Amino acid sequence: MSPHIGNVSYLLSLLTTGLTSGALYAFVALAIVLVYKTTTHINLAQGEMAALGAFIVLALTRYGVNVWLALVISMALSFGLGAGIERGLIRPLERRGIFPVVLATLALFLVINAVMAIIWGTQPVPAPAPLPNGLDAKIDILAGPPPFFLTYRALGTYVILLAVLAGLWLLLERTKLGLGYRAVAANREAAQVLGIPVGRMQMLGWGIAAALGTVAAVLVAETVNTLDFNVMGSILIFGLAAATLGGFDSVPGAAVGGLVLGMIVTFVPGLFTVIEGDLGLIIALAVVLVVLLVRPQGFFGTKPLERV
Amino acid sequence: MTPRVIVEGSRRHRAWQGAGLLLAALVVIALPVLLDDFRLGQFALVIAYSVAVLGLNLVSGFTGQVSLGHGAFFGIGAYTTAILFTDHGWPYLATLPVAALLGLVLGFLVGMPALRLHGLYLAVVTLAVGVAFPVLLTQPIANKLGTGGVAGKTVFVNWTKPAWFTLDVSNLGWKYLVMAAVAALLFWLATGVLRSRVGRSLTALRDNETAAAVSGVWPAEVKTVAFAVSAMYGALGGSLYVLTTPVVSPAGIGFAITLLFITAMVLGGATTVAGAWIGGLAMVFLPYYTSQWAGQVGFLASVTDQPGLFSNVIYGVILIVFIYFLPQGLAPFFTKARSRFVAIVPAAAAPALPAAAEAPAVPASPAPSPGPVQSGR
Repeated sequence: MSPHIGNVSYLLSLLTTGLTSGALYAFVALAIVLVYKTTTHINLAQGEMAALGAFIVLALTRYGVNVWLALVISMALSFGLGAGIERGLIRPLERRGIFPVVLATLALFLVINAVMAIIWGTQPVPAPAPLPNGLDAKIDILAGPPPFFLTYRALGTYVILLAVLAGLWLLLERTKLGLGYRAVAANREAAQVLGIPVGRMQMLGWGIAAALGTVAAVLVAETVNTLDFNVMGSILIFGLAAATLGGFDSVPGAAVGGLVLGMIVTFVPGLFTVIEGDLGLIIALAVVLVVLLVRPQGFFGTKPLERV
Repeated sequence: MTPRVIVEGSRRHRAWQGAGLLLAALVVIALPVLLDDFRLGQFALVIAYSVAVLGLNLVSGFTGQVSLGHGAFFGIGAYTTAILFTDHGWPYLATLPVAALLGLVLGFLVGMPALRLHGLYLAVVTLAVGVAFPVLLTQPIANKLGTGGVAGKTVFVNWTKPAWFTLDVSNLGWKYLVMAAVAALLFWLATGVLRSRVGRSLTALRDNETAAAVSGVWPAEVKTVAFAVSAMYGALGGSLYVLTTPVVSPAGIGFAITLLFITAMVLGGATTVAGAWIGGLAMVFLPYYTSQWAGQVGFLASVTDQPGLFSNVIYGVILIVFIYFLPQGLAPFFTKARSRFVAIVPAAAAPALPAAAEAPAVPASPAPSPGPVQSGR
């Protein structure tokens, strides 16, 4: 056990750290879920597409574009790229089952990853920083030791996550477009019969996912201070684990799953010091295994019914 | 031109098959005599990768299960052999059964969730295992076993060609020939297994799980076994790998090599045994020639100092092109080319099958044909 186990300040620090990484996992999980809901596919290139978006932000800021404006432009481009990939690359394979689509997203993974390394180099570069990121950019709360403070970056991440969730809720629950999306997610054939453009809803899912991924990658890069072509490598696994935890077809599940996973990944090594080293990925694997064996549909997902 | 017709299993067919095998063996044996050590090292890698790709074919091509953690299986074999050989003084060949066994166990454990999970969930599990395994190797507890942490494990198998072997080959040539012999045995075993009842059960499950289950194939058993055997082949590929490669590191057995295995599988032909060879050849020579080419072409060389990156772009493009236009891979392509000259037809469609199958069919009742699978249990 950690010697700090009774220290309020230490526990609060763990909490905010967990929430921050959890928010990042939640973004990726949301992207995965938004693709899954209408297509029942998982985009394994989600992380690479996101990193590409972050590099576009970086490239734009190098031309002197304001970082927030660059983020918006990059999100729009990512949206187009995501929708285009769904239409051009994935849709023709859909009828052939899961495996070809998985392979196609792996191919995307390979190509995007290598192209990023070719264009922007293999060395990490300073990340674009939309949120205040200085050493003093924090609110001190408890003097400690260890001191407990909230960085503006962490606060900004929470605010962005809440804003994204609110935006998604408005889009999906309060617009006709969202109604169509939900109809396709609920029952593709029935939606088609009702005249809902199923294909466009699938493109919408891929597009929003890609745009969200870009936000995630920018925030992840800012958290680690550098951007490189493998920046989303392990985050994809955490996102998948979070989506598994929440249920692959549940938007709130993805958010909760991300935050819970962030807590687990932070608190387990934080409290039990017998475990050494960077265990995040192994904990994520354990979470995936436990959830899939105990409750395969996740905690907020719907159980798929299969008729033989 | 009408193709020559040869009846499958006839004496003539056997003779042609024998001649083909003999030719292949001659080529394999001629390589170490003809090639220098650099080239030979490449072909040694081809052998190691081919065995691993064959494992992936078994589980993904023949059983239709998505497996995204093959690098971990490759890694457990490589590390087992490296640790036993370097730290515990085992003879190299004695480490192979241990590596195979550990591969079987790990594959069985990973395959267990497959009992309940289909498709995408299995993809998530295997992906997580494949990514977490290299991290596990860097943990202090693994370090105590001698994994060497992030830097990896060095292993140098110092073999000299035995005196009784009179063929004029280098020490590396001797290693290569041993690898080729082990690989030949493994390929022969895989062919046999796939032709047996087990193999037909695998394919039946892939094509229609419900129909297969109704016909007496127990999906849980067959799927887990497929995963375990696939992992065993992956592990043996890893063991062969360290015979000529002096170091194995966590970075070398991660998702990157899994992706290459998958591309190699698709390229060669996931539902073939011979495709694994083509995949292995591609894994070694495609990056090699791509790097050379990209390093020479002025424009490409000016963009990056790592021309090897272009091979990943090409891998990705190949993967897409093959999924779209040649989903069966290259191996069936060759078979088709051959069939323009020689048609091999099955033996006369007699009602009673000859004793080609190891387990005799049990036509107990005159029930309608149970499809391609003979009832198992």
